[in-house]
This record gives sequence, C-alpha cells and structure tokens, in this order.
Amino acid sequence: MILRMLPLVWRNVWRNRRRSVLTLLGVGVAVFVLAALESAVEGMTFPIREVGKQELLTVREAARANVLASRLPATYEDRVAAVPGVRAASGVLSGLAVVGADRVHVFVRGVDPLRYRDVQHLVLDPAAWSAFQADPRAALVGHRLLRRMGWKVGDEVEVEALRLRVRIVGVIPAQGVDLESHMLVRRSYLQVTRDADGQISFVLVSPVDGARPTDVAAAIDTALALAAVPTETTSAGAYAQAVIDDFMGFIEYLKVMGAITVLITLLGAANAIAMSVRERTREIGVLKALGFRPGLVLALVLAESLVLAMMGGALGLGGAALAIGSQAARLAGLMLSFPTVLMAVGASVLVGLAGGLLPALTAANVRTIEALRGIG
Amino acid sequence: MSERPIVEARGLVKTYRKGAAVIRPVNGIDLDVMPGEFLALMGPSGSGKSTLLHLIGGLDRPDAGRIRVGDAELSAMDERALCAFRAAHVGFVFQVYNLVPVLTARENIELPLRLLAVSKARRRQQVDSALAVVSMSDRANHLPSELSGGEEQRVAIARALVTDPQIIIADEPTGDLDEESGRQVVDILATLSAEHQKTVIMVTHNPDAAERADRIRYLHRGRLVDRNPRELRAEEPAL
Repeated sequence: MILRMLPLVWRNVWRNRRRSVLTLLGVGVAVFVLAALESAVEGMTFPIREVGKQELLTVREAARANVLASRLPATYEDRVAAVPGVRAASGVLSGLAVVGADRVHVFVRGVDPLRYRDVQHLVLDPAAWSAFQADPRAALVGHRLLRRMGWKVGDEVEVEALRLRVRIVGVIPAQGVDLESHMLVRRSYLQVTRDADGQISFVLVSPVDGARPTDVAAAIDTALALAAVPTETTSAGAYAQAVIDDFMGFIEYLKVMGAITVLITLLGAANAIAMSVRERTREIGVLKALGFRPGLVLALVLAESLVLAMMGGALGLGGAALAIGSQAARLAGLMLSFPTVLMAVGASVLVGLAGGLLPALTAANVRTIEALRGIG
Repeated sequence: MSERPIVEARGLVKTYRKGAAVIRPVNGIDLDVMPGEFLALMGPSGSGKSTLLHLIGGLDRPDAGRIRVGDAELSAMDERALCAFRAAHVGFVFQVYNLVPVLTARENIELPLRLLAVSKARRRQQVDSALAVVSMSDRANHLPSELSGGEEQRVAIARALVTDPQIIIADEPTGDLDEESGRQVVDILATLSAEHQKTVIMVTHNPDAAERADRIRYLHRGRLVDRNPRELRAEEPAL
C-alpha cells in the first residue's frame, strides 16, 4: 500500500524545501562525521588486527619491551629455530629513522631474505624478490612509504640516520602484514651501518602447524632462560591486543562523539518531522476521512522521515567516500571499510525511523474529527 | 427511489465531555434517507448537524442507537472496518476545501483510487470523468494554490465522487465561498443527486443552498425537528 503512496511521500518531503534541505544536511553532516570517525578508528586498528591474525611469535630481550631497543645475539636465531614446536625462525635487526622535510617515520628491518620469507608470508613480485636476494644493498619498500616519500622502483635513496644507501628493487603491496611504512633491507648491510655486527633486535618465529603459540613461546623462553640475554616471547596477537588496548580510551572517546552526533541529528530530524506533521493536522484528518487507516498514516510519516534521512545519509556517505578516498586521507591511514558503510547506512535508517516515530504515532492516533478541526 | 432507505438511523446518541460538562450534540435521532435523495440539514451552531453527519459518514461512532448505511451496520464496526467503509462508500466535501496542497487537482482526485488499488488506466479514466462532472478538466494539472476557492471546492467534490460512492456528505460546502461559487457548488451537488442518483446529505446555514435539496430537516438541541428552529425559538416562552 505504501508503495502506491510514494508520490505523496515524495511531495511531502519537499513541502517545505528549506526545512527539508536543512534536515537533510544535518543528517549528511552527522553521517559524514560518523563515517570519518569510524574510518579513523578502522585505519588505526586494521593493520594491528591484521598482524594479530598471524600466528607469529616475537622473541625479544626480556629487559626491553620495545623491539627497537631490544638486542639479542644473532646466534639466537638458530637456538630458537632448534626449540621443539618452532617451524622456522628469522632474526631481524630493526631501525627507525625520520626522513625528509615531512619527518616521515621509516621503520627499517634488516633481514636474511631466505629465512625471513620462510617465516613471514609475503605477496611480492618474484622479480623484486630475486633482485632483493641478489643485491646486498637492495631494499623493498612498503607501498604507503613509497608514495609518501615520492620514491620509485629503481631509485637509490639514503636513510641518513641509519647511514643506509639502498636501491629500491620492489614494492611491498597492501596485504595482511603491517609493512606498509616499512623498508626491508639486507641484515648484513644494516649490521654494518649500525655497528651491530653479530646482533639482532628480535627473532620472528613461525610455530609448527597445530602447535599452540603460547606453548611454543613458553618453550623458547625456557630454553633461553639461562642464556646470556634472557628473552620474552610474545605472540603477534598479544602484541596487537596490547597496542589496541593502549588506543582503546581514545577509540571509545571517538565512538561516544559519534553517538552524540547521531543523537543530536536524531533530535533535529524528529523536531523537523514533528513540525511538519503538526502543520498538517487537518490534512491528516482529511486523509483519514478518505479511508487512510492509522497504520498507513504512520507508514506515510515514517517513510517521509526515512526518505529524508536516507538522502542525508547518502550525501554524508558520498562526501566521506570522496574525502577518505583522497590520497592525503589514505596516506594518513583513514580507511572506509564495508562495515563502516553499513554502520553509516544503519545510522541513517535509525535517524529516519526513530526521528519520525513519535510524530508518526501522533499523526496515526489523532482522532479523525479532531484532526479535521485542526486539533492534534 | 427504492423502498429501503440507504441511511437508517435509530435512537442515535453521541456524548462528549468538555471538562466537567457533558455535551450531547446528538440526542436520540431517528432518520431515514432514501437512495438518490438530496437532504439538507440545517440548524443553529451547536445543534448537532456536523456530529450527525460524522456519524452517518462513519467518522465517529454513536454512544447509543444504531445506524445503517447501505448494507453496513456502522455502529457495530471497528476503526479498521470504518476506514474501509469510508474509502469505498462515502465521499466527503468539507467547508474548507482540504485538498492536499502538494498534489495537483488530478492527483488529489486520484488519491482515494490509489487507496482502493485501482489500476493506473482505470484511475485515469475515473479521474477524467470526475473532472468532467465538475467542469474542471482544463485545470487538472494545477496545484490547489493556483485555483480559486470555488475551483478548489469543485475539485474536492470530484475527489468525493471519483470512487462512485453510495453517499456524498457535504459539511457546509459553500461556507467559505462567494455567492456565485457557492451556487455552482450546490448546482453540482443537486446534479449528482438528480442525474447520477447519488445520495447527498449536506449541512448548511445557507437557506438558498438548502432550498435546492429535495428535503430539509432541522436540528435543534441534538434532535431532529420538522420546523425551522427560529420559529420554535420564537414560540418558546421568554424567561
């Protein structure tokens, strides 16, 4: 029945153009803010969650929680590999440098190509991988870092703080590994430039299939308990959760702000629809006199509110897609995911239904003869 | 006219509360209206004319008594059934034209047909016929704001008759119109009764409009009386 009345719904939406446009813009701004906030949260936590999905373990110096500051003898690579439950192990020497006028943070990992790839599954161009293996001064660069620095494959670049001069042989594309802002170099070269001969920062471990990561972590730490440098082994998932926990307060704050924005919009939409219904009490009486049932009157007002909110939502979501899709926003880590789109659509529907419900109930329940007298 | 009345009301009572006061605008009314009859209801303000009209049109239910319109026993119907009854069997014309301002004349007239799920082609045909009856075919695509008061009321009449109802109820249809427009509206209602065999019940304060009806009934203090209440008042002893 409501479908047959759509022309009436559509005309009613535009009955008071100024008010409808303002309501629509209000919903649009709210949905934009909500989508932008959620995209920021998503962009912030996505790489960490992806890392958390891997069942890799990180073995670092027990006394240093930060892997950048951790130092282990390179021999630990083989000692860890020999622990039961370990399928493969790869020693990594880490470095962090701030480069360029924009002060871009470059996370450098010095790795042994064969051992590293045995542990860390990477989707790479085979030619790039071959070049990385062949050239001791080759580098693979994360796609986001490459774009941000304006580098190209084939460029020879310098990371002054780490005294590195490398040739970019390939790009690490977006994948389920957080290497978007990383640079992979040969470990032997980084050990030289950092005066860290025979040292690594941590060992990346891949447990054998079926082994519980926590059991393997305990076995590694037990095996190295009496070694010169005691270790602490954590899973990537635990690391990811710890980082997300650190962010959680801020994330909750963003979510509360988003909820408040939706609530304010909902009240605004409800007020606009209520005003619109109040202004046509007599007309609603006429519709009821013509035989419109209370349920149909309710549906008409709700549909009107829903159409307004959905148009506002589409506007806000379109704006968010444009803004978040821009290169600057992508580089800043914003990410408009499908669940965020669904949430924004859901918020629009919520504003439309909840905002229109009270006026719709009022219109549906008003007595016909009172409505005809303009009372209601 | 057939033997059986199309409207049959017996012992109708309607009571309202206004604060502590109890008002009984309809107080024991018996009324028969024959098919195709044009009946005018007259009486002073507050005499119960509009309330009686609402009861006949199924807009309200009586507190006592019974009312039948056609085969429908309105006093036994719930709200849902009354809605369906109004949509199919009654056409309403109000004093204030009450067209939907965002719809054109054609769309306003089409509205009751959409409610009855009439096909698009049939809707068009019926709307064209209704527009022709009220001589508004050339104004079909105008919005109410582009029409004069008389034209709006003619569109309202077209909307009332487009579903081919058994009965048309007009509540002071000339109340807001100038003399000429009012005359045209009453002409149309009289034609609907005389030529289209529609039963028309009209409430009016206008004696000239009432004169066009087949029969005039007067209401006085919630009851139907045979004589003009002005005469009755004149005969009442002064306090």
